[in-house]
Amino acid sequence: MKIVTTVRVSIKGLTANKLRTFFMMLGVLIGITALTVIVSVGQGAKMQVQERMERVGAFSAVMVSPGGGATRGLGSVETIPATLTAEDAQALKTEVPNVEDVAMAQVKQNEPVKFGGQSTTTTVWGVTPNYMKIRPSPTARGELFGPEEQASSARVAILGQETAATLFGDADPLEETIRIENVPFKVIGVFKKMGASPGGGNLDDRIFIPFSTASRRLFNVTYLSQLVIQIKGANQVAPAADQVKQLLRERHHIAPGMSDDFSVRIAEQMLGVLTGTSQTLTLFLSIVAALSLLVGGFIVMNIMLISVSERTKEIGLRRAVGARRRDILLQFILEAGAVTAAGGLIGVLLGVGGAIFASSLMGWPAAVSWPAIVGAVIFAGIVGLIFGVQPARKAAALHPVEALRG
Amino acid sequence: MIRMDGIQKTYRVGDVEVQAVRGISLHIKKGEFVAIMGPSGCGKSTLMNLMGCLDTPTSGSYLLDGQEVAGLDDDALSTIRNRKIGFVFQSFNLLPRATALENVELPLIYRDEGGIKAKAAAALASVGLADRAHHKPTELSGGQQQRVAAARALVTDPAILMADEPTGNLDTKASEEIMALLKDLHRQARTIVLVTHEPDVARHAERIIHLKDGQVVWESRSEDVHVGAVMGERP
Repeated sequence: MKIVTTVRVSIKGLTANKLRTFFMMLGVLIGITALTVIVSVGQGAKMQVQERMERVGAFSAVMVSPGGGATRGLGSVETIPATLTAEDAQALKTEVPNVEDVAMAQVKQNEPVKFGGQSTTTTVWGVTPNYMKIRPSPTARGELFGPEEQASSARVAILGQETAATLFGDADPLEETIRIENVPFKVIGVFKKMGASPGGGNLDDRIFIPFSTASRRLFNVTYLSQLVIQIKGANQVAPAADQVKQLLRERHHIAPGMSDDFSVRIAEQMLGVLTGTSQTLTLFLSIVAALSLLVGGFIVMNIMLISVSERTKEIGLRRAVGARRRDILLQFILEAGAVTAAGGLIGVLLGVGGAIFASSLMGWPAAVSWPAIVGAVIFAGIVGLIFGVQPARKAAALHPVEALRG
Repeated sequence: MIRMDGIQKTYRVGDVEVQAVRGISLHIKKGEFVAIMGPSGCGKSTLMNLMGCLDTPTSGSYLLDGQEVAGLDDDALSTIRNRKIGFVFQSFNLLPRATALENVELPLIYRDEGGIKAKAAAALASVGLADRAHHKPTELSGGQQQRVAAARALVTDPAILMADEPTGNLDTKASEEIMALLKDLHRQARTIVLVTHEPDVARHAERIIHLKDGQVVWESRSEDVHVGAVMGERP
């Protein structure tokens, strides 16, 4: 018998009992739907982190922050150890090969800021002008400060979009004077909307002022919250990170065997840390979904077994009019395969829809991965074929005479 | 057309061996209309299954259309059933969710041939059911269903038509219709083997083979049957 005919016979067999076919499909459908949602959301989360890191130029940079161990996030100056200094920055720039530039930042969180009657608290960053190059920070209005303002410790500030909105509403903040810890600053620019940082922080609620101004006039500390070292060539980032580590250990007189009093991070590691949890979760959920698919497979097998015993007479008749064992075998395997592949396909569509719906509703990112989808449908089909074999063998093994008797 | 020599069929039921057919030898010529008769348990169903290549004999020789089929494997027997034998069953055995036409197509889909639809339609027309082609079995009367089954048996142009109690589930009128159809087919030179326990049905055949306890006990021409029925079974 031709394979096309067999497929048609199989589909006919499935449409003959729609409710049974539906239940067979359901097991696989639920598994594939869950799998699609999980993979899409997981993939989306990963892409989101990656995209954020690219946006802040993280992939060509080595980041150094004070304090050893698994320090995460940005240390406010009053809480961090005073170990990382401007001299370190200078030494790194001259002694580590392939260093393009080194930017310094002092950060203080929950700083009181006032304009007229409006007041708020925000994170104030004292940064060297090159920081805004290494971490691209375009302005929506006004301009960035440069070496002159840095040299003169000018009291100028650039506001994040949200900070500007909080303080000024719809009014124009440029040339206005705000007070940070009661020190007056002239607003010279407003950043473009930047969204979230790779770590999830809000890049739109902060104020940038020159590093020198921050350290001399506002925070009165000389140590750093963060060093960002830009490396020439992306493939040099990892070796440079090792050399940065080496040099800082020397400069900080850390004996061999003692742990670092600073932490060096590169984008790949951060990506790993930031996506690690979500990947573990994705993996766990995927295993659960795969198990449900397995259960779906057993459902298919059971219903097919029932179907075979119900259709014993049909099998007998087909054998009587000339169907060979393999025709019967193929018919039932294809029935199981077709029903699960269809379940897989519908599951993928529902899953994609569900992922998009969930992402728009909960603000999760979702990425539809077509290879994963094709894989899911094929996988579902294979589940059907595998679990369809046993019932199909049972059908094919029936003796024509006994089968005809029913 | 059919030549059986010393055909035996033994079943094992648990530890017990049941001899359903005990050495039957018979000859059915091409174009003959033969009835196989006997009480239930006489082995006529087993003999029918053997003749129809649904089952294989334990021993003996069976020449069908000049070919020895006693030792063939399952695939070869399937092909022979498809090519040479058409079955009509007591319970019609139509696929309930398929139309009359699709039911008639069934044997043809197990062949690699084209023109399935046309052949099936022609077979359906030959039993007078062209206008019922797209009806489901449940929408047809018993007699019509059995005619669909007959069309399905004929669509492959088989060497032998095997009818196993074809009127067993039909009322008198429908039974007569089916028997008329068989006689008609006989006139068209088809070889027909009819299995029945009813003398009234068997009398339509040219020759009647009487079975008892798995053996041929006697043969008669159809005109003798009434005598047999009146006088009771002969030894």
